[in-house]
Amino acid sequence: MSEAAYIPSSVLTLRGVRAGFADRPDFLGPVDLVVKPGEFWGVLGPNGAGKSTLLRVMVGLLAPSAGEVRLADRPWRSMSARDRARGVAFLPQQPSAPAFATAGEVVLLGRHPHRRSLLFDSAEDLAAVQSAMQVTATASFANRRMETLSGGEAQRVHVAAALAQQPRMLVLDEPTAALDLYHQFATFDLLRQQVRDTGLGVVAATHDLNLAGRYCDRILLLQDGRPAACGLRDDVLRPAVLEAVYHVRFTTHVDADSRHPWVLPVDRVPEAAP
Amino acid sequence: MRHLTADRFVVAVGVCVALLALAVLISPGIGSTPISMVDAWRAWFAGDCDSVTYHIAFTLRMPRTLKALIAGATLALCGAVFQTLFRNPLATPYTLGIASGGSLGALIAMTAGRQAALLGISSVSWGAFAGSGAVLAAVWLMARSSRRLGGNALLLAGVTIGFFCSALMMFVTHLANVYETYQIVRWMMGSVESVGQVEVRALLVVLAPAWFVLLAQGRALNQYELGDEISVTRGVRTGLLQGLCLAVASLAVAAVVSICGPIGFVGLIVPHAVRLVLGGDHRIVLPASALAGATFLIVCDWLTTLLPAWYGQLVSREMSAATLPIGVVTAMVGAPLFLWILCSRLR
Amino acid sequence: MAPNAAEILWELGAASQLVGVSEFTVYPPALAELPRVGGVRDANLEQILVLEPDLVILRGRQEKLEELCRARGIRIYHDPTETLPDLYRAIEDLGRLCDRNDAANQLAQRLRDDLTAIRRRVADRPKVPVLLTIRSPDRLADVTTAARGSYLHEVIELAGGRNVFGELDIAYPQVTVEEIVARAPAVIIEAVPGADSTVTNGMAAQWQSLSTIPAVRTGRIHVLTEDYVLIPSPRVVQLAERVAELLHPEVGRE
Repeated sequence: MSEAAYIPSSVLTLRGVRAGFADRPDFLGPVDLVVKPGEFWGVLGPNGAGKSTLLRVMVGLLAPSAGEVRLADRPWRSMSARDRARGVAFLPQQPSAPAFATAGEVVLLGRHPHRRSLLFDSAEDLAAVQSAMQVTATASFANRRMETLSGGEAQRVHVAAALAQQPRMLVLDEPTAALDLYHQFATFDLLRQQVRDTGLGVVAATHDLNLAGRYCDRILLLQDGRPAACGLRDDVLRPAVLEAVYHVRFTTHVDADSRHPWVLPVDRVPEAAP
Repeated sequence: MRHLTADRFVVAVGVCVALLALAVLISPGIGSTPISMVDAWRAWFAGDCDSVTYHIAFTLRMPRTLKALIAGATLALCGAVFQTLFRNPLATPYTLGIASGGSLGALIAMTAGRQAALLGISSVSWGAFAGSGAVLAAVWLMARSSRRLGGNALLLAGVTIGFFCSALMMFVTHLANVYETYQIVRWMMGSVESVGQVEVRALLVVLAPAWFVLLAQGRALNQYELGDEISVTRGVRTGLLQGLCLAVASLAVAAVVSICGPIGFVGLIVPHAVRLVLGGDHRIVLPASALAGATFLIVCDWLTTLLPAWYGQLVSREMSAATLPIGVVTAMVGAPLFLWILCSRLR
Repeated sequence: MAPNAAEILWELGAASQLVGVSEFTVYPPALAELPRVGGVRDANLEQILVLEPDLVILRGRQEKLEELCRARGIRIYHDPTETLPDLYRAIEDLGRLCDRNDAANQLAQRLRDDLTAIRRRVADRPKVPVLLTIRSPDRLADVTTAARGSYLHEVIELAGGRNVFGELDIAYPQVTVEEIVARAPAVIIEAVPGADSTVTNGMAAQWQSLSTIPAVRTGRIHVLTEDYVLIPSPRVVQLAERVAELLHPEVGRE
C-alpha cells in the first residue's frame, strides 16, 4: 500500500461546518475538526445527535450550509468527484451487494476512482485488490458470491474495497452495528492496524463507547448537533462529560495492562429528560 | 478472483458475437420457401438482384433478421439497464408504461382513418412513437416535480401510467369496428416483418447512439448496485446516471415499439440468463445482453415460420406456409429455455 | 348479435321481427336504426332483457348471455357461417325460426343459382392465381389471408381464381411476404372495409418494390373497400361478381 503512505499534508479539515435537512438546515454544527493522517477518530453521541449527518458532510454526500471542508489545502467544493474519491472513502452502515458479484469483484469495485480505461482493469488495480484482501483476510473467499458470506465476512470485504480505493481518509458509519463481539474487535483491530501501518486517517461513528475507548486516539462527542466534547480520548471519556450527553450515570475503570479506559453505564439520571 | 482483462472480455463477448454472426449468416436460408443459405449468398455475391432467390433472401428475409437483431439487442440491453437502475429484477423495458403508451398511440393512428407514411415510416409507427413519447414526458414531469422521486416511486408512477393507457386503449378498442380491433390485437403481438431496409435504417439512426451511451455505463452501473452512498463517494454522479440511462433507454425502447410493436419477454429474461451464465459485471452483462437478445430474437423469428410447419406435420394438417406472430414465440420458446438455465445454474 | 344474420333476416323480409342488432351491424342502413345491444364479448344484458326477444342469434360463444337466455327461456341460435354451405344452412335455419320457410328456401336457392351462374360464366377461363389479404393498411407485413374452410376461399375459387394459399388447413392463416413472393399471385385482392382512397392508393403502392410478383408487374392489385367483403351474408353474391370481374375482366357481367 505504498501509494497511501503517510503524506503530512493530507489533512481533512472542517471549519465552522453547519448542515442539516430541509426543515432544519443548521441542525448540525458549527463543527471544527482536523483529522490528521495516522489518527483514529471516533464520533460518538446519542441517537439523532448528528453523527451520520456529520459523516455525510465529511465525504461530500451532503453540502454544508455554512463553513467549509478541505482536504489538505483544497476546498471540497473545488475538487472533482474523482479526486475526492481518491482522498476519502466511505463505508455506509449497510452497503448493498450486487446480486451476482463475488467478494473479489466487490473489492475490485473500490478501484473505480483509479480506473484508466472504460472497460479493463489494470495490473495496479489487481495489485491493490490483492493487498487489500490480504490485510483483511478475505483472499480465501475471493471467488465466493457475496450472498453466501456471513455478516462478518461481508463487512471485511467492504472494508477491503474501501482500502483498495487507497484513500487518505476512511470514514465509516457504525461499522460494527451488525457484528458479533468477535467481529467487532476484529474490524477495529484491522482499522487500527491500517492507521498504524499506512498512515490512514480513520473516522468511525459508533455507539460503542468501549470500542471507541479501546481503539480511538481522539473522540468527537455530539449532542443535538453540537460538539459536546472534542479531543483526546481520555479527556472525552469522562463520567461527567458522558453523563451530560447521554443522561446516564457512568463509572470508569482504566485497564491495568493497556491503560485504556472502560466505561460502564450504571443507571438513568432520573431528573433528566433525554 | 475474477477481474476484467482484455482476454476475458474478448472471450465472453466474442462468443456472443460469433453466435450472432452465425445467426445472421444462416438467416437468408431460413423461411417457409425452400431457398438454401448457399443459394442465397451465391445470389448476393453474383449481384443477381432480379432473381426471386435474391429478392426473397435480401429484400424480405434480411430486413426481418436485421429488425429482429436491432429490436432484440435494444430490448435486452435496456432491460438489463432498467433492472439495475430500479434495483428490481422484475423491471422490463416496458415497466415505465412505454409499451402501453405506444400501443395507445398506434391504436389512435389506426382508428384515425387516414393513414399516410412519412419518411417511409407508417403513420401507425409515428402514432406509437408519439404515444410512448407522451408517456415518457409524463413520467419525466412527475420525476421532476417531486424533487426526489426514488426508483420505486418512479416505477409505481410508470406502472400506473401504463395502466391508464391500457384503459384508454380498451376504451378506444371498444368503440372501434371489427376490422380495427383485429388490427390492434395483431399489432400488440409484435412483428419484425419488413419489405426493404427503410425501417431498419431509421431504427439504426436512432438506436446506434443509444447503444453506445448505454454500453459505456458498465462501470458506473456496477458502482450503482452498491447503493447511492458508496457510488457517489467513489465519484459516480448517480443522479446524472439515472437520468441519462432512463432517458436514453426509454427513447430507444419507444423507437423499437413504434416499428416492431411491444415484443415481450426478451427484455426481461435475456439479461437474467446472461447474468446467470456470465456473472454480474455490467461491463460484460451489457454487451452480452445486447448480443444475446439479438440472437434470441432472430432465432424466434425463424421459429415463427418453422413452428407452424412442424406443428402441421404433427397433427397432419397443411400449415407449412402459415406463420406466427413473433410475440407468441418469444415467451413460448424463451420461458422453458430460461427455466432450464435457471435450474441448471442453481443446482 | 350476428351482422350477417341481420342481413339474412332483412332478405327474408323478417326484419320487422328484429328488436335489436349487434354493434357491428352495418347493412342495410335501415337496421342501423335499431337498438344496438353490444359486440362480440360485451352484450348489454339489461337492454336485451328490456327488448324481450324470443330468439337470440349468436356468433361465437357468449357465456353470460347464453346463461341469461337459458334462465329466461329465450331460444338461442348459434350462427354457424364459415363456408358457403354453412351460409345456406343458416338461411334455412333462420327461415324456420322466423316462420319464413319459403322465403328462406328461395333465398338459399337464389344464392346457389347466382353463384353457379358466376361459376359457369368463368368456368372455361384459365384459373388465375389469386392472393386475398386482410391486413393493417399502414405497412406490408403480417398479412392474414383466407384458405380452406373459409367462404372467401370458396368465392375466389368459384370466381375463376386459384387461391395461392388454398391448400392451407387453417381458415385464416397469417403468411409471410416471402411466401407471397414465392407463390407469385397474378392478382392481389386486399379487403379493407371502409377505407378511403388515400389508404387504398397507399396500400397498392406498398407492393411496388416486390416486382417479381406478377400482380405487381401488371398492376392487378385491387383494394376492395365495400362493407360486404368481410361479412358472410347473402351479399356474398355481390362479392363473387366483383371478384369474377376483377379476375376475368374480359368476360363481363351478364
